[in-house]
Amino acid sequence: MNSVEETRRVEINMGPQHPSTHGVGRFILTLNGEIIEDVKPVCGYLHRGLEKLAENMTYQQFMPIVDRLDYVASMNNDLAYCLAVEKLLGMEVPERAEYIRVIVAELGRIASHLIWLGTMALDIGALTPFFYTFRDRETIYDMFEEICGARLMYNYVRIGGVAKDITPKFMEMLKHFLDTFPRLMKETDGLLTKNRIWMRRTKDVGVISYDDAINWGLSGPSLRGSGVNWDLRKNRPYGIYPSLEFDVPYFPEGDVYARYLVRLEEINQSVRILRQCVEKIPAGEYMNPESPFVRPMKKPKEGIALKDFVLQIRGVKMPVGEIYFGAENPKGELGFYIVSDGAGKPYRMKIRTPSFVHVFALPKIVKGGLVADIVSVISSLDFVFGEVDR
Amino acid sequence: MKNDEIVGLLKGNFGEAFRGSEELSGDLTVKVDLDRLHEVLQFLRSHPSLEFDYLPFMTAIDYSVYPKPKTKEMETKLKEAKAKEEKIKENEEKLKEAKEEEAEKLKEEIARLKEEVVKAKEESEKLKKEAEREERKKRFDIVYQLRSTKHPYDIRVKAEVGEEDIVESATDIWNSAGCDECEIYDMFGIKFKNHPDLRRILMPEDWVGHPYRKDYPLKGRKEDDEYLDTHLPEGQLKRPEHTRMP
Amino acid sequence: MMMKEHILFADLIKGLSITIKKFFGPSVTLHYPIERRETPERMRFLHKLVLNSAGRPKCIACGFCERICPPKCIKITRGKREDGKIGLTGYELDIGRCIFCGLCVEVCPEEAISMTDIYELATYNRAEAVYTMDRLVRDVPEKREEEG
Repeated sequence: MNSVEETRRVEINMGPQHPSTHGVGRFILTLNGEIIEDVKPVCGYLHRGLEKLAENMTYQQFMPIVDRLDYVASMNNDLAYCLAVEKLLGMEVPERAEYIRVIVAELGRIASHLIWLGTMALDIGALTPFFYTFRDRETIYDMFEEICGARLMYNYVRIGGVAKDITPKFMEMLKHFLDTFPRLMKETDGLLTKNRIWMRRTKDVGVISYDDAINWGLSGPSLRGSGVNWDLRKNRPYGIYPSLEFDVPYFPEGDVYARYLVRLEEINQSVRILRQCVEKIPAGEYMNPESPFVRPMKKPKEGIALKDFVLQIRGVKMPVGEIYFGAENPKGELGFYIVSDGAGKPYRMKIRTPSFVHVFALPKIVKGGLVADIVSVISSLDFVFGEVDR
Repeated sequence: MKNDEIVGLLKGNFGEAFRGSEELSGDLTVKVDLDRLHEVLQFLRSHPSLEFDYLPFMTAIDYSVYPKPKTKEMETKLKEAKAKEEKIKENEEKLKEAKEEEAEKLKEEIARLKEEVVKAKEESEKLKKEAEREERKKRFDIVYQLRSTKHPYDIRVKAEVGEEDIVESATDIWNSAGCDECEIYDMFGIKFKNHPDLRRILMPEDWVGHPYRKDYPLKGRKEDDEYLDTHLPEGQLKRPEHTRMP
Repeated sequence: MMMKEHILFADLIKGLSITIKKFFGPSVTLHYPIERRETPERMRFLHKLVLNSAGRPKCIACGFCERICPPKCIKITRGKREDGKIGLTGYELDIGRCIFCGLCVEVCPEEAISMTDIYELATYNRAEAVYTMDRLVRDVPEKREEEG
């Protein structure tokens, strides 16, 4: 290497306070002119040690903490965690609860994709879609507030069911939402999908091939943007998803535009799932009455038994063993690996988050591209740093 | 191919390096020797009827404070079961001589006792299985969760790792292992060879200790807390004792 | 994109027509301090200690909420009360630490703690963020008694 080449190489620090890193992400870029030669992701600014915390909390106590992983899709996090613990316990969930769970999870998926769509357009330079998507997201948050009282950290799905039954007002809101939302979504679609500036900024940018996408561990919409027909709801079915009709969109191009189209189509599929759920939802229990986690939740009018004290101090005793459960979240596969030694607290919990893997696959995708494109690639992978650092 | 067939395939190919398998709720876990771990992983990746081409995650577990098998509890459970069996016999003898009203009561009691005996026996068997498990010689377990996107299989591969051991990196098989290996190095202090960029990714580079080890205190080190307490800005309250995690 | 569309700027005209339509549409925002949203029934905000008919907190100091609280922001003190019985003497809640998960309300066997719809909780220092028993009982206006 001669000295001329050496002087041409520039190191640029992107983040941690960069608006398009969607949190506190930091990337050290090595540039050769305008070409990116290397990217080194640096994370840990939001590290809270959730896995260590889990070892010191009962399964019930850890529920609200799970909300803080991917804080724009808390419902889906809750659901994934509950399904993992239920798999360990081998617990059944009433059918009504299953339907409620799917409804809230798909609403959460739409909300998460709307945030992604707005912020991605914002990053690339289109300001208008941001307002439209956040307007629609707000209606979803109003619905969640109606059923659980919180707008962002829901703590709604419970081990064995859901915390409270849905209200008639919620069903009205949901029906109204399903009637109006597809029309509103078409506005955003009309603003972006065929727009020539949008296409220039996204087509053939940040390409990752079929094999590389699998090998680098991409999941969710980012994997499907590379032509992999893979959805955990179809390939490793859980809950009542097998009884619902929906398609898995995938596009073989592997660029930012393909990932954009996948997410846009996923919103439509979620609406389709929601319509079926509204039709099919049965009456009945919303919580498994045999769930040991219900006991302290109910109001024992007859007074407090010694059993309740023991439950509070020790937590619910779990079977010995280890399980892994991965659920399809808006960002990708969120999995919980729980090792139980039979006590009320997990012996070890590993949280497999999609964003963590995506951040470290970024160098593979952007190497050799232009420095201006890294922003659109970052937003197309859609990572949230609460999930990366855990 | 079913889970036991995959186990059979591994047993046939690796013989003594294969250390056993477990299954819970459909999750298959196999244990192998650390020396041949990389070979096993490569075999699972490249075998045409398995093709585990996706690595959801890998992690490590610190087993240093894992509870020891409860042999005493097992013995007491077995004794209880025996005592109850004897009571059943007694009741049955009584039943022959008893009148109608008493007979029904006794029948109910016998049915209840029989259920209890079955339960106690099941529990003692579970405990027995635990007790029969080999005693651990090494501190950590390294865990690889594998998945095939072409076939409907999942498998978990585990190997025991000591504090001094160096594990061969799996980045040449799955690139996604890179970040997880960094995390394990950061949080548990297990070293990897042939890794392209092994560094601390979550903690600062000059951090002392490995936080996810079981002997690392949850509150953090005392020095850090004392430093924070003495350097608070004016008018700020110290963190109350009860709000510090237990 | 079709050549004809490209020359006629069909994509840009479509986008502009959408934004112009919105210009005459209804407003979707609120002027916050002047206008306020309606709060739903199950609102989860500042806590409140419920009183019994004798005017004392219903709390029996069982400590369930203290134990289940994930960030450990509740502190209960037990001791001899003024009337000579042993029971609750102090209840401290650090709003600066609270994550408003609502587990304390759910776990309470006596329904002695509930959540109100007071959500403006910012303070100038951390000492003010600690709510003692007196503040939890008296300072909280009774906007909503119980949640569903």
